[in-house]
Amino acid sequence: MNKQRLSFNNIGAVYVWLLIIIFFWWLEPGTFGSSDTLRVILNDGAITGLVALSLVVPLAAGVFDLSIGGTIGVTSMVTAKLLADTSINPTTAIFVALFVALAIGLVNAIVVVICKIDPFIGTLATSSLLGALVLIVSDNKSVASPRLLGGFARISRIKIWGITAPVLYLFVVALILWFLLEHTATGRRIYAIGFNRETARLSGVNVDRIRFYSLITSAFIAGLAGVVLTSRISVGSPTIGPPFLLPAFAAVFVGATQIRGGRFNVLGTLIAVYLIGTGNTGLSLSGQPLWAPQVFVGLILISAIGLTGLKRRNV
Amino acid sequence: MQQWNPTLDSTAAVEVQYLSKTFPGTRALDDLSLSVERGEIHAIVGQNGSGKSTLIKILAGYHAPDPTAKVWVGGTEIVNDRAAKAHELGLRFVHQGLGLIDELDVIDNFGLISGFKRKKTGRLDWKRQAAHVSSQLSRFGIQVDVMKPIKELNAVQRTAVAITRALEGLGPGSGALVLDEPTVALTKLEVEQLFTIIHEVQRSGVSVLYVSHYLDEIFDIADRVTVLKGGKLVVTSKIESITHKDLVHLMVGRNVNPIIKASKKANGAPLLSVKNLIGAELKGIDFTVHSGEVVGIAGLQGSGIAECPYLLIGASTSKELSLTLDGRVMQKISPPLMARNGIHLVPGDRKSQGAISEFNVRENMTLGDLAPFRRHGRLSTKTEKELVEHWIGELDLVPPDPEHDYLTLSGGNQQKVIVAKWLAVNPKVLILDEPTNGVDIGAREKIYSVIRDQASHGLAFIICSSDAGELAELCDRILVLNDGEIISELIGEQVNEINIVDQLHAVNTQKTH
Repeated sequence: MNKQRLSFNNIGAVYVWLLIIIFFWWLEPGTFGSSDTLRVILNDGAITGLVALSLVVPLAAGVFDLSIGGTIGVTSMVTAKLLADTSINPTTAIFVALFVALAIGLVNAIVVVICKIDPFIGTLATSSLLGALVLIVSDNKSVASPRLLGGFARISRIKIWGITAPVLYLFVVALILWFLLEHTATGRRIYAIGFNRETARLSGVNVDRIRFYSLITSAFIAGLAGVVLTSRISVGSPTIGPPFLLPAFAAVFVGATQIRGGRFNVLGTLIAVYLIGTGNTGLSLSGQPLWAPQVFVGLILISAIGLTGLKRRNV
Repeated sequence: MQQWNPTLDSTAAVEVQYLSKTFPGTRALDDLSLSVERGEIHAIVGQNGSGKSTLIKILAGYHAPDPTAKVWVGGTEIVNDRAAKAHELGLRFVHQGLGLIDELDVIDNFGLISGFKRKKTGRLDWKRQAAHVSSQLSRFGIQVDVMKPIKELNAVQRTAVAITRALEGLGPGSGALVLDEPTVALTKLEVEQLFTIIHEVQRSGVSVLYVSHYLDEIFDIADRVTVLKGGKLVVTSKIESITHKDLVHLMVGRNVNPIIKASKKANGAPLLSVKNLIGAELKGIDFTVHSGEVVGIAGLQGSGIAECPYLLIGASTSKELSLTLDGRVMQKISPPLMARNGIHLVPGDRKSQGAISEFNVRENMTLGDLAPFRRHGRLSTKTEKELVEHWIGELDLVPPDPEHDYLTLSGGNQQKVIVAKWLAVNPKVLILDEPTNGVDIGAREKIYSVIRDQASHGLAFIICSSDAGELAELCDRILVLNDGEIISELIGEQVNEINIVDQLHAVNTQKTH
């Protein structure tokens, strides 16, 4: 059992990760080897990680949510605008932003579950609407304000036991989702729907309800990521959200090939996020060209999925 | 009834010898030798599972036969590249679904298979193409508007188009056509029209291998008939020298001991009353199931048997349907609601509806009801395992491991997992759809004995099946469906395979619409 757990098939990404660390350590011992680098990787990964985790529940239930980039953009802009243009306190601003995220999730859920539009198309459409909303709110301008620096900045900058807060948020969200997916009846039903909706339906699982809430979950976590991101960069930017979409999907898909072989899962996703994060940091520290990180992500994705595809064909 | 000796005729349209086909765990065809003479209409009959479809699939090149087999078409032996070679030699197929694209017109449906006529510029020459297709159709006296999309044609016209398309390019006096259940969707009048066309086809020199469930049709159309049973050829006979009754007995086999049903139980109380079950094929059937009773619903394709279980649990909607459970009328009918009331369906299609291939045995078995394993919101794997181990023991699952991958189990053991999954939810009424489709004999016996045992504890079963042997062995009472209606009810001593097969394969007399 233990042997199987540590096999390359099960946690191949961990071995690849170690190889990458050793490689860059050897290549750039001065910069890559410093503890600052570790902290950068950990912190940068935290927000990508949150975004990636937002996708785990819907994907496990077989639902694509392409609108999370838009959700990040909207919540970021809402938070920044509220703090810059009004005098409400940061806590209220955060709550309003999270409430907006829930509302976005509700719209997605209505489009996909009630209107029965394929999630891929439905959330592509809402994603476009959210892009428009960001432009309306921001007038295509970044929002900066001293109020984005003070107390609000602290929520992403305070450290607990030397770890910055976003890493902690990531850990908490991961723990909750892990428990939900691995240790509750709901989690079992989520996977059942994702693997075979018809069987799940005939087994008496309330398919619509779970698909509905899965989209609310993704929007909420993406909203949380949007707020934390805004706090970290202390600016509300209209172009902030969409770039997260592809890396997040890449991480979840790579993650699905790890630990639980074929199931979208939390731990695999975290490993994938930090594998990709480490590679990207190493590449930029060693002065590789700007396009190198994207090549790296692409290759990791193809090889992870390709290898598990091969494995399945052998069965 | 005289045995046809295939070796005497070397110019047969189609000839097979020593044809066997072994699938893992089962032998679908066993040393079959058969010859279709030039210009004859040769019918193949047999119960479900007798090997008819395997035979057709082998002829069509979909399955490769076991190596001993020899197949000739028009006197030429086919060895490699079977599908293409058989087609070239003139063996053509019209499968049950016809293989036409409904949205495209007749011309395009021809063109998709045999290519289009072109002008010198490479542009399609619609005029010549239309003329070509019309002339093909008129060969068999068929008149349809070739510009019409298939969906606007009637059922006979569609079949006629499919037949003509299949026979395109054959020289006169050659070729063989395999027709698989061509009359399932046809009314009685339409069947007659189709037979006229088939006779035209025959007159053009094409041999026909005709597969049908409806025995009376066979007597109207066939020159000879071959009976298959359990993958073996029972007999090939001239149609004049055999009777309907002979066919039924041959399909069932000689060694049928009428299973003496201990006229055991005075039925329990009425548990579930079904009224006005109407669907795409079902025309409104009524019946009542008592607790502890095993009721069989027998029917062949097209009779409504396929939709029956799904309508009953509300997975498909039947507007008029009224269900009374324990004296209480059910207000709404949907799978979760029915599940909550103890009525469950074990679907016939294991792969796409019964199980989740990515789950292991335990996860599959407990999916029907996870509530008993909840401990303070947490799912207790340990409690799950206890229940799963109980059912593994009851059903002799091999291997007896709750954590075993579902997908790598044998078909029989997969079905045991599915049956256990629904027994584990403590149902009141369990509806089983084709419960032993593709299940080996050992697993089948085990599943039967568990069903009997559960029934003796008061659980009611509704078994929808096209397997007469299975229904005869399991059921206290059998309702036979034909063309959407219950044409007979067999009770007690009447429940035997001969009676079921006789009723199942009766001509579709109901088809008057």
